[in-house]
Amino acid sequence: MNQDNILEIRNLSVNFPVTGGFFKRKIADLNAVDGINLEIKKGETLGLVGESGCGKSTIGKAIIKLLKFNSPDVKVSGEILIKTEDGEIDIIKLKNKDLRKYRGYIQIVFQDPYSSLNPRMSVGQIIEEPMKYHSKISKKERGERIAYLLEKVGMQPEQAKRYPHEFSGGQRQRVGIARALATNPKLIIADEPVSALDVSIQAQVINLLQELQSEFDLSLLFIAHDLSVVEHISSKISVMYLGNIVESGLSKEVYHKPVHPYSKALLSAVPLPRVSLEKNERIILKGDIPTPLNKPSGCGFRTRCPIAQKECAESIPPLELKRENHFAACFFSK
Amino acid sequence: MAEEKQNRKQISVSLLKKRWRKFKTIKRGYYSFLIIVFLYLISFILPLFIGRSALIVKYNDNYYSPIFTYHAASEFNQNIPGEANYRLLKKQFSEENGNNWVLLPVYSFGPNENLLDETEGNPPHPPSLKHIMGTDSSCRDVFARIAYGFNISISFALSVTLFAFLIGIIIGALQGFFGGVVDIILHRIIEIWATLPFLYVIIIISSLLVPNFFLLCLIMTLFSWIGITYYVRGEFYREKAKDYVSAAVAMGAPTRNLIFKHILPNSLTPIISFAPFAIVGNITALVSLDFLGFGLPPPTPSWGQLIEQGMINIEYWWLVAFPLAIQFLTLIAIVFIGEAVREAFDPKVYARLR
Repeated sequence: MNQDNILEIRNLSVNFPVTGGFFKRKIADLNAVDGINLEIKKGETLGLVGESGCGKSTIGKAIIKLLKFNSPDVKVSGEILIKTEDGEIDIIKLKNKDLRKYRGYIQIVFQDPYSSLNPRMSVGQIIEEPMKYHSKISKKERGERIAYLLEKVGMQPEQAKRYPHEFSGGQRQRVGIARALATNPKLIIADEPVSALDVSIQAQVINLLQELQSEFDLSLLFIAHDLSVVEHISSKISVMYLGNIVESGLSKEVYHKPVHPYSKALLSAVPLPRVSLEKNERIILKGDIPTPLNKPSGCGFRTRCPIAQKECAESIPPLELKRENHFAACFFSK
Repeated sequence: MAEEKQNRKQISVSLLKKRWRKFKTIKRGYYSFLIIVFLYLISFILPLFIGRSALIVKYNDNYYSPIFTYHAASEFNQNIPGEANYRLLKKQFSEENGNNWVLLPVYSFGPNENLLDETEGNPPHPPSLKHIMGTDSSCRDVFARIAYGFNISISFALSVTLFAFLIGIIIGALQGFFGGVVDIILHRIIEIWATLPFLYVIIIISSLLVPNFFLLCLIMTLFSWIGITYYVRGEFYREKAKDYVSAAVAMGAPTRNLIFKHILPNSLTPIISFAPFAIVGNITALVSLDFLGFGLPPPTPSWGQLIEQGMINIEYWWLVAFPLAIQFLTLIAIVFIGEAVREAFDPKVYARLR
């Protein structure tokens, strides 16, 4: 594992078996994530983008080990290494008690601020709970830390006594962020944290995440489908398509000079707040994303790719260096 | 002004407080709740108000408190066998005009007391000032029997509901939380259990042993937890998929905290709204068992037994009307409570019931 890295994912695959018939035979495998590699450096933000169903949230859930809880049949293989004080630890292999001990290193901010807070608990109790599991501090110190965290996320400490239903979506998301920060995590997975919010609130929450990141020296895995948001917050971007990473590189590089035809199409769909006579070239992809139950041979994108050729169906293009710090998985694009 | 007060109140209230406030908006439910709770609490100290034993007796410069201790009639120089008759004693002392006196309860007839010696004519006696609801065919006071029967009915219904819900919640929670094989196996067991005919089992058991209060509670509990598991199981399946549970898993909460601290408090809505109706059902169940003669053994003052008496002596209207009326009022009060509870848990602000 590289010294600077806080998280390294090696060859991660996630398969959801599909069963059918009277005896629940396995009839197919839904291949949600197909052998991907990722690394996140300390203090860095990695943006993960792609359209719905491409497996980006599955990666987030795999890292935080929620997959087994939400769907017990799922098959996860590969390695997810995190750096802790006790050295490198493979999260996939951890079980029960050991796992609980390292839960504090990675925390998650959910997409829906309405269902991610327990309606029966006050904001103070919600933020306090992870502290009970991960730090041995007294009740008084916990109270102080709750006030501190609430202030950090831009709320008043007095609001700790209130209940989630008394807050707006943006405020709830701030509470969710405060809860994630309560364990002093090294990495926060933000699973589309702003897509359920108003545009004006989105900016506030993203700026908050950025401030907190530099203040607490956090690493961030930012999962989203809104490219302009990701470009603003991330230092690196990885683009996913059908369970594979098709392009990866520095944020500005990928955003302004995409290489892979899928990234190009995705970026051409970003609406620009500019009134001009020159028209942006829109690349419109035809057809739907293929089902991960039955992926096309070779390159997953070839069925919709404007520059696909014979070779694309024969072998899978590897993620190769196209420019400095810029990888893409395509034979023909430059 | 009123609106301002409302706004100020809305600052920082837990969901429970909010619901309690909404519960109170259904006036008939709220008042029924107060009345039933008040009467039920009173019914535990009922011998202070209704009963045959005197509260205090002063006799030959000694004080006795017969509601706590047994005193034979001979202790007060009364010429009857067994326990002293305090009503006669009072009459006797006032005739003597001495220093002795008796303090009787407000309504000084016991539920199982045979009053044949103190009444004229053949039982059953119609309502009079002395016996406000008359006496039954064994010459016992109907009002006292109904009053004591209230405590038995409510206690029975409450304990059966409580234990049945406890079992139902635990099993439903296990099914819903763990799912998969646990769910399938438990569900098959429940289905088998549910096919046992309740009435036959009760009849068989009552023919083998004399059922008492606890045995009846146990049998009823064993047969009434099943329905609750369906609700709890469904609620658990729904709630465990929500993000706040995932967040708790991600922060490393142990399984018991996931179940009891996170999911269970959010799954209680159907159970709580169901509870008043379950209580109504259990009161009725005890009444029907007593009516059929498979319930509490005589001479327990149970409502079903009173209704059975009314059925046999249908020409004596007070034996039919009073037990049925009291039971009707109790049940409807609990149904009103149920309506108010339902309203309290209704997320909609404007409801048809108000």
